Amino acid sequence: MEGRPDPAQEAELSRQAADAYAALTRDLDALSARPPRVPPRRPAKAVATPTVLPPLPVPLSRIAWHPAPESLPVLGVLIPSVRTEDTLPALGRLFAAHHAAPFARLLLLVDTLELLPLFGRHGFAAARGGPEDAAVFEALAARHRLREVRTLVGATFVWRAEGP
Amino acid sequence: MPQLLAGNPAIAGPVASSQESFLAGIGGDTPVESVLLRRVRPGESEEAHAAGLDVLARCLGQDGPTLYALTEEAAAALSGRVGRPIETLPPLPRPMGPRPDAIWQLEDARIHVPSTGAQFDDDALHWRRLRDRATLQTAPSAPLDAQDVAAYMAADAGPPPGETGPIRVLAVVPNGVGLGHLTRLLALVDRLSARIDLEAEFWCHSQAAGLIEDAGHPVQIRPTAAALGADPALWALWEASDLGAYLAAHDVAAVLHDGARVPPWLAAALRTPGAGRARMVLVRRAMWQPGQNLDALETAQHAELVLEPGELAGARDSGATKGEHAPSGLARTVQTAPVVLTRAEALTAPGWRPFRRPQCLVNLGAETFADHAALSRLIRAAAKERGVRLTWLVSPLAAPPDWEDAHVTRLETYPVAPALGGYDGVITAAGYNSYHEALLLTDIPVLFAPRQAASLDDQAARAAHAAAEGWADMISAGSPDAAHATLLRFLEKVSSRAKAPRPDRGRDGADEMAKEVQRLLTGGGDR
Repeated sequence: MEGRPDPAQEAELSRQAADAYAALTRDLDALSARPPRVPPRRPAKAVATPTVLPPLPVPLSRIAWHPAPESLPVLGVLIPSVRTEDTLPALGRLFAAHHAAPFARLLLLVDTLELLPLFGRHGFAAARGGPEDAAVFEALAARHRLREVRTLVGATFVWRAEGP
Repeated sequence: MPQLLAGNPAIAGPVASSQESFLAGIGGDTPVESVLLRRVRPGESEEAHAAGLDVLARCLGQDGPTLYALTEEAAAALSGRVGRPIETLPPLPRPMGPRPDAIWQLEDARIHVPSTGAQFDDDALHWRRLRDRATLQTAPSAPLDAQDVAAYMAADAGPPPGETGPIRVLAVVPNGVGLGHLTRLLALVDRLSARIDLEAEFWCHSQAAGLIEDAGHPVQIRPTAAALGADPALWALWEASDLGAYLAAHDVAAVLHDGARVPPWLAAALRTPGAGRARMVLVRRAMWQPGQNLDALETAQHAELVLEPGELAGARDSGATKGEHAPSGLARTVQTAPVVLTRAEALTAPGWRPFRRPQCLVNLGAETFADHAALSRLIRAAAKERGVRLTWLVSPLAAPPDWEDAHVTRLETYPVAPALGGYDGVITAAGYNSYHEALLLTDIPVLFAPRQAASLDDQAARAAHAAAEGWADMISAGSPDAAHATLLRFLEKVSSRAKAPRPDRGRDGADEMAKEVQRLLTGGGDR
């Protein structure tokens, strides 16, 4: 594949991803020791997204390495608005799978913002989104080439973009 | 000019603001329904103008978009050239408030304000905002298009719709190293909401957006170009486009931004056709590093109001905002008293007395600097030596520290100020908020550990000023032996719970900022 790093570079990139994954695991452990934050829910107004601009990328994150991350589809993952006892273990499983063999670029869809700093620290992109937000998903399809949305817990199908 | 067209309720559908923009857009995805034909513009020759109209006439045929001109005179002059009827563009609604007295000159694509000597680009502001401030004039010898623009701006169709309901503002938070931008904007919105019926929403590039949500305000989370790994130019186009669409849809009275400059994408969003009447307020903290951000001052031309939060260490400010500089555009610059988020009454809240004494709070801020770990070790070693327990403030932006210490308790809280009085001392970085909260809201011993980086304000100057005034001590991790000795002396003060002299808290700078914004939006003064 054109532009692919040599084996030594690949090994170094994989090592960096492993270090980042270890840091993320520590971060999740620390978070699990704290009670969930329940903010007052104040929905933000919808932003009408035009479709004439080229889409913006979604990063792979720091915890994974892939020779051609742009070839991976953008998958929206709906994070529960208030953290439950299932949330962090489910995130841990998702991140473990993503670290071991990245299968998508993850766009983490949050209804409330407790987890935003954690996602940002580890190189994940996040956007506002809830289970009823088909219009938001359409907008994110234009903005980030979002292809599909599933729930974090149970990976239940929620939405898929039309077309190729 | 596109802004005036899209702000014109008499015109529907896509519109081209000149014959050139119409021709450039032929073959595009969206058919243009209206074209505004212009007369000779600055820098354009009569021959080039005539040739452009001839090309347009051949492209238009007898059908196609509705043609407009700015004045009856222009319509009559242009219709013969293109062989089609041309309508006069319907006038705009009357500006908000009384008709402005000021007269400004439009000359060579610059707007000159004779009373102040200020000048700015004619596309720096949305033109409906200009109409609220002044009547434009041109010289009789000016190009015909400039005369048409001035005549059109002077006309109006009647009063605007009345104001009802809350005043809506949008606070735009940049992605700073710490929480300074966010905190000052929260303080402004907090005090402004006490003065007027306010609906505030935040447009936030910081990962700390949850703090705004906690304060009860809706937040748009907006990843930065760096966070997405995006081309900054493309990202800026998205921000301008999305924010412009937001302003057009939600009738925002003012955009409040805290930063050194008005970013180009924000200025572009404010000029978006249809974005309407939103005023621009720039909150611009002083104490810039010497020689930094020199190009940022000019961007104030995009704002109506520049608010400079007061600095206790202003006497040592050698940054660019301190110097004499020409007024920029419309912006009126107002310096207020120091701004802190926490109101005085919140400082008496119970519940912040640590169980084990003496106890010192440590607030080193973002952990993105090379000396952070060394400083952290120095502080913990000295505290252990003096028998002082530490409470280590963890930034909401930072990962948990990667060390454990039996003498240290960790705390995550925001804002910090209500907790300060419960401790026997505080060791803190010298960012704007930490500095002013520690000096204005407490009388406990303070030790500043300034972080000095080009991307930050001049923290060393702030800390040195406090030390010279006797308000606080300061430390640098650069010389460990001296730092250790300073720490030991400071921790003795903590152990003895010594009271420290302090500057007078004086006026509430956040409320002074709110008062200025209130005046801008409603014409009103103090309540």
